[in-house]
Amino acid sequence: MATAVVELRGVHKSFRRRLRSATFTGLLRDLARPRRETVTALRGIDLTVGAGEMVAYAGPNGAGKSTTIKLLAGLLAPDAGTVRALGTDPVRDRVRYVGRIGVVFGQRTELWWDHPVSASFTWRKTVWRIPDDVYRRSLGFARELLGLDPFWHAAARELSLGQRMRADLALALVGEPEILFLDEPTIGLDVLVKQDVLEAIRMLNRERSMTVMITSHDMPDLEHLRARIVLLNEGSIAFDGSFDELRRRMGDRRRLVVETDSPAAPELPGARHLGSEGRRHEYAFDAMAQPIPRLLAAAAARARLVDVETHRAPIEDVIADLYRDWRGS
Amino acid sequence: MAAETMRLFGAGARMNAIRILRTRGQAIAHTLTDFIWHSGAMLAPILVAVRFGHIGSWPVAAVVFMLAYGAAVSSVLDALGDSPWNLSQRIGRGQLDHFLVQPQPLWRTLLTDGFTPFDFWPVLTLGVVLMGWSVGRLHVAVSPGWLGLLGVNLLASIAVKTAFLYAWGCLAFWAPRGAEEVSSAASSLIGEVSFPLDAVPRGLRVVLVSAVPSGLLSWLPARALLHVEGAGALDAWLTPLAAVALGACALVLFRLGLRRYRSTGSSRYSDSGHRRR
Repeated sequence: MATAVVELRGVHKSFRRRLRSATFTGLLRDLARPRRETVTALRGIDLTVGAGEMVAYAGPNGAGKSTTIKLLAGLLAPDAGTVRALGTDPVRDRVRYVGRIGVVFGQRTELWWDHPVSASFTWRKTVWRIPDDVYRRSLGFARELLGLDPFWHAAARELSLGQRMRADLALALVGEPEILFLDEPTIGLDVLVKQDVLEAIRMLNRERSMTVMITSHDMPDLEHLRARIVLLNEGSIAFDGSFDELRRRMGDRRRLVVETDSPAAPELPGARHLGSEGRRHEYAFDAMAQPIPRLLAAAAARARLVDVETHRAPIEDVIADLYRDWRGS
Repeated sequence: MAAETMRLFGAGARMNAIRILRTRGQAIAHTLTDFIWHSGAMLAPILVAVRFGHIGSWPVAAVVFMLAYGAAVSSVLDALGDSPWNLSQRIGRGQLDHFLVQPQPLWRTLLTDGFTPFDFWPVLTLGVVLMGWSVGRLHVAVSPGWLGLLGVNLLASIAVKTAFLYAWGCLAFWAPRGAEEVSSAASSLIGEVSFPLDAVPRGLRVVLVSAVPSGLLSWLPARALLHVEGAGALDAWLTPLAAVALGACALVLFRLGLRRYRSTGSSRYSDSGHRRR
């Protein structure tokens, strides 16, 4: 592996949450004797990210994704274990460290709300102490990559969500950070803007060898990035590898769509009927357990086939099954 | 360190100028309304003093000095930015994170964030001019020592109000949502005094120079600097002393709170939660 730029060793993080009653007597009782519970966000996380890697950090809600990004951005300290990034402790060496990273929180903006977009960039140059030549170079690159020119002089509050996200991402790139942390950067974006943003992130990693760590709920997005995927479940790493490995581990999940001459969906052994639209019937099956020729033969024996198509199950379905398995266990 | 701080003040001033100077009409309206607002607030006590020739042992010029001193304090504090006024909101809404991802020490970010010198220069100018006028009318012996004492008191008054707002704002570290608006409530509590407090009952006066130190923002320093009847010889050092004490309290509270913030973050799991934008 390339030089490690992020290292988490045995990282634990938990939060205390107060339990509340909805009844009057319960509220009074809680005042006298507050009840609390501990929510464990991370349980002994071990993770190493090499220089130039793209890591997709995913998991169901409450799995600990944002907590990890906050630990790595120097915003939180772990309860136990060590967090090292770029050879430093993000909390202890915060001032020097955050000058070397870029952070984008999808639900927040770093842009100055009432000011032209351009003003936020000049402000960043001053606060981040970015040398003139680095600023010119990185700004030119980011403006072109993310297409900021059409709204460069518009006030941030006038931007659409997609424009705002592009500007926020560009802002994080000014100064050429060594690591880019992106927390849900595609949340709420339409398909086209999302594709632009993802393409830009991919390009940064591929052509500039920038280390990128990205969290998202959107699995097709993450698969599109061809990133290493780290899946969290209840604060622990449940999977760490490539999307191909993940698919292999989950079986060769596929979809079969058959068009027959009848609106009644035929029952196929080893396949689950997902739904029908008129005479088109869709099934889910595992091609390792149920080879496609055998399934087609079964379909042909039970109905008159007009058309047939098969494709891999969307990655979000694979992950959803995985989450269901975790919940079940 | 000082150069870097000045550089950040410069960046804040540039952002302030960009906002104010968007249009000519905006620039004029902004400056005028601010000026009218502050000068209007000073007018009533001055008219009362003029009508009666004095307020208690304070001649008209001394009343003007006190009000001008208060205007100078509040204008400098306003120009220094949003942080003291909005600290609890910043904490409660998780906006402190924006400061922590900047490669600057937190004190410097808090000091320079939202620096708005172009918003408040008219009031500051008004305050300085009126202080000069009243000092001339009162025949105060203006020596370098007196000017130094005036400067120290002005800084101390600014520090007192800042420390008071910070100390209250820190509550939001422990109750992010419940205390989200405590900074603005605290700033209403410590409003400027419009009339000399000499006639106020002693107990209340003590409160107004200690627990709710409105009196330290203009009345006590002005009385000491002008040697108004009733002022003690060492009164000019009371406000600086209070500034040190209150500043120390605010610093301790802020550090404790920040330690907690590092542990809980702006997470939805913390007690009372942090509002998510």
